[in-house]
Amino acid sequence: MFNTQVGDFSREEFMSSGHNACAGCGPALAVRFLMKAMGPRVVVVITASCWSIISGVVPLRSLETVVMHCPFPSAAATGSGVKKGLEALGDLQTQVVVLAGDGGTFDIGLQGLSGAAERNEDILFVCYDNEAYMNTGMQKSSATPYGSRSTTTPDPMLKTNPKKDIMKIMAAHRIPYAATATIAFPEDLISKFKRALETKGLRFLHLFTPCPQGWGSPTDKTVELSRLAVMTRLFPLIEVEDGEKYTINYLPEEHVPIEKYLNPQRRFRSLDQEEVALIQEQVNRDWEKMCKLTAQ
Amino acid sequence: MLYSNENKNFPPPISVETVSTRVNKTGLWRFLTPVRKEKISPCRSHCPLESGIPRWMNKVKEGNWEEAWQIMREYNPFPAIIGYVCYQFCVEKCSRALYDEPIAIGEVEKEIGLWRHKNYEHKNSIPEREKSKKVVIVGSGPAGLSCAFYLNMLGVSVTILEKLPVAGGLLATGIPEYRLPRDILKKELEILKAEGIVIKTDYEVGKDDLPNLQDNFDAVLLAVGAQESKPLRIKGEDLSGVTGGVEFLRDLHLGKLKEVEGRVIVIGGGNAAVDAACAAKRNGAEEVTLLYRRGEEEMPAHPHEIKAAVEAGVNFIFQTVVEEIIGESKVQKVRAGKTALSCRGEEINVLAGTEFYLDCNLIIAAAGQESKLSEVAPSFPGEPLIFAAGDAVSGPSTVAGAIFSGREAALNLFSMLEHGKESNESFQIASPLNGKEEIVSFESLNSTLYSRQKRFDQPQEEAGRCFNCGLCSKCGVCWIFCPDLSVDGLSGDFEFLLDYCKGCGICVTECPTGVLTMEEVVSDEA
Ligand SMILES: Cc1cc2nc3c(=O)[nH]c(=O)nc-3n(C[C@H](O)[C@H](O)[C@H](O)COP(=O)(O)OP(=O)(O)OC[C@H]3O[C@@H](n4cnc5c(N)ncnc54)[C@H](O)[C@@H]3O)c2cc1C
Ligand SMILES: Cc1ncc(C[n+]2csc(CCOP(=O)(O)OP(=O)(O)O)c2C)c(N)n1
Ligand code: SF4
Ligand SMILES: [Mg+2]
Repeated sequence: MFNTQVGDFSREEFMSSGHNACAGCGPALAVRFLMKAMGPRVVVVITASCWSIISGVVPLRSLETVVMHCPFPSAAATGSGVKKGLEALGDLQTQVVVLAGDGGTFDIGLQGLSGAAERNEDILFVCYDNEAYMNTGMQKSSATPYGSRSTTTPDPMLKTNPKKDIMKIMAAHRIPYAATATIAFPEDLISKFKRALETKGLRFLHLFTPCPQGWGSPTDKTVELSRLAVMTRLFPLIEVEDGEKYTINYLPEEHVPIEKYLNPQRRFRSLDQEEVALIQEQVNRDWEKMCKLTAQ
Repeated sequence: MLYSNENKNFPPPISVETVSTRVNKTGLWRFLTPVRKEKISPCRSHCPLESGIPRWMNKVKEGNWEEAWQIMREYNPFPAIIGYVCYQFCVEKCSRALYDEPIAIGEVEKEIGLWRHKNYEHKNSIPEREKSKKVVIVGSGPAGLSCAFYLNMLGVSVTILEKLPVAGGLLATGIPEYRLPRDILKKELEILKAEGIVIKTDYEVGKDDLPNLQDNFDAVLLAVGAQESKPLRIKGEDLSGVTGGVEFLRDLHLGKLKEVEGRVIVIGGGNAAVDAACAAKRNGAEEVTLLYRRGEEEMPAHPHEIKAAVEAGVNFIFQTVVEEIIGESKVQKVRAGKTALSCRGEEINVLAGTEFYLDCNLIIAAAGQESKLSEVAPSFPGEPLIFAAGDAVSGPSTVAGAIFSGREAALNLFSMLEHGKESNESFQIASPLNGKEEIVSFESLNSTLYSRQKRFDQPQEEAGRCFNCGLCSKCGVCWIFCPDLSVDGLSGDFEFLLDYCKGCGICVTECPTGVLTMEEVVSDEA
């Protein structure tokens, strides 16, 4: 009798063991859920990222479906093209899912994504956000949070800018469906994948996926950190329909202080109390703003 | 699946890798290995019966009452009785208490017992087999009844001899009826008889009878309880109007004493004293005063009992000892004195000049009980096939403690009588814990998977709140959260697929029951 975090899932898997993700990899788990929701009839377009590797290097594959790799900035464009190609072949059924990291979404892929969103291409764009360029050794991205260490913002020159609000950017494109989800809430996550698959036009999913390797967190805490991100209200689970209608899907029962989330991670190790308090204030402000948006 | 012919359009005409990553044995990366090892729940570690609470809770959760009973009886054959009378030490340690509210363990247990009562069909549930050994049990209290139940299940013929006209020991003549409805005890005795156990009441065993019993039976179990109230060793104790706590309650229950009149003084601070005080009040006493020699905090009676007594109108006077009972032929008053504050085990110091008198018509001395075991069996211990169990050995304890002791005695007796012989495979009897087992801490659970939720009235729902500490409840959380698909979700047992497990430990951290640990496992392959 768990609460709504863990649901009743099909035991069928469309991803294989033996993939090359690090131990405790959040993105690997997220895509396992994604595949559960989608089933095999899908083309997955993967841009340069950890997932380029996790999906298998030649001649291996870890996803039991068709995978297409594409150049770094072109994820959304490639996805759009594949969808058009399938339609031209008379296949109106097969879904196209674009899988990109935060670098491939927030930074280098943003213009392609913006174009596809404006054209309302019929693709599902999934951004798994591990908050840095992990595959090349943890350079900061515009998804890296304030106060985080990375190889391009080393101690003591920690990242001074806040994380880019990608959901607002996508909402501003007035796409039919955008949602956030994370691995500690698989029931919510899978239902959002399913909802996205039932929607036509450009759908965007922002997945919060802890990376123990980059974040310097114990490998066993990946799911816990994902849960704490939601419980501390740092990462609200939301849905945005047509760029306007905001819904918060999970209201944390109590206030969990942000330290609980920050402390297990080495990337935040140098933060002092004052900075932590600043982060807490920012979280509170963002949450309030989010609540106002949903109230409209 | 990928290249199915059903969808002629799929896959689209592009090249596809065909070799599964399963050729990569990523298990070789592992330093630590998840291991599923059942541990002891805190509730179990505090239960006098060492009852496998999470196990039967799990069955009630599923609505499987039959299996819940099958598990229950490995530890406790009388869950309805225990559900009513036990002080529930388990609940004090329930991990759920650290989250919202402890599980109503006794209530669920009682329901299993009541289910059994309702569903017991009057046919022997034990497979027919020749009973070659015969055991006689002296005393029909919970210790004797429990031993009888288990021996009978093990295929031993059992006869119980009880000196009183009613069976049940203190369940019948000590514990007040409002705490244990007597039809519950009656039903339990009825079932035991239907299962083939012979109970002879009005049969007192004296020390001269013992050789005879030894001749006629293969072994003897003495479960005679500890039912002699200890003497006060003060002047006036022999006056009429002075009785013991257990004796007083027994007379009331047997109908020898119909009514209590006037002012009653109860001496003692244990459950027997409190029960006697309540019973006196309920049966007509004008005023009941309980005198306890130490402070309130030291009172050995259970807090619930004390509360109930206060509600029933019993007066409590603490730090007071009775030094003399005064009267002509019958008691009239007592001379008492105040004592210095002391802890249990410490000496009592009466304060000079604090002497006072209290009038009374009846004095109930309930300051401890002794057993007559040595009178019934002067040679015990010493003879190989004479065993003893329950309060007779431990001194006054609890019903749960007595049932446990009877269970242990049955196991010992059986292995003595039938050594080498396999016990009946169709059921198990729990062996005692050794005290070295690992107890699950609240921290090793993953309580975050549960919503905060106070108690339910409905037992099945309530059982659903149980964290199942230390027991795999087959919830599949380890399987759900594995990034490496290294937990077999198809078999239902969620076995680890160690060829691929990278040892991240997410399953261990996420497991709600704390049954998993990361361990250094040296494998042959490595
Ligand atoms: C007033 C009172 C209230 C209590 N309330 C609770 C409670 O709420 N919860 C709880 O857990 N515990 C309670 N206890 C403790 C509990 O009742 C005892 O620990 C338990 O009953 C002991 O079981 P037993 O089988 O060892 O002995 P008993 O229950 O004392 O049974 C011994 C039996 O042996 C019989 N017997 C003795 N000598 C002979 C003989 N020579 N020949 C034949 N038969 C003989 C006696 O008549 C008796 O029937 C209470 C005790 C008292 C006194
Ligand atoms: C145009 C281009 N620039 C740089 C790279 C090198 N590169 C490969 S993966 C990667 C990091 C991707 O980061 P992100 O999108 O966040 O995914 P992650 O690795 O974190 O999963 C980079 C910089 C590239 N492949 N192509
Ligand atoms: S670097 Fe991080 S995201 Fe990439 S495979 Fe390793 S754990 Fe996963
Ligand atoms: Mg990244």
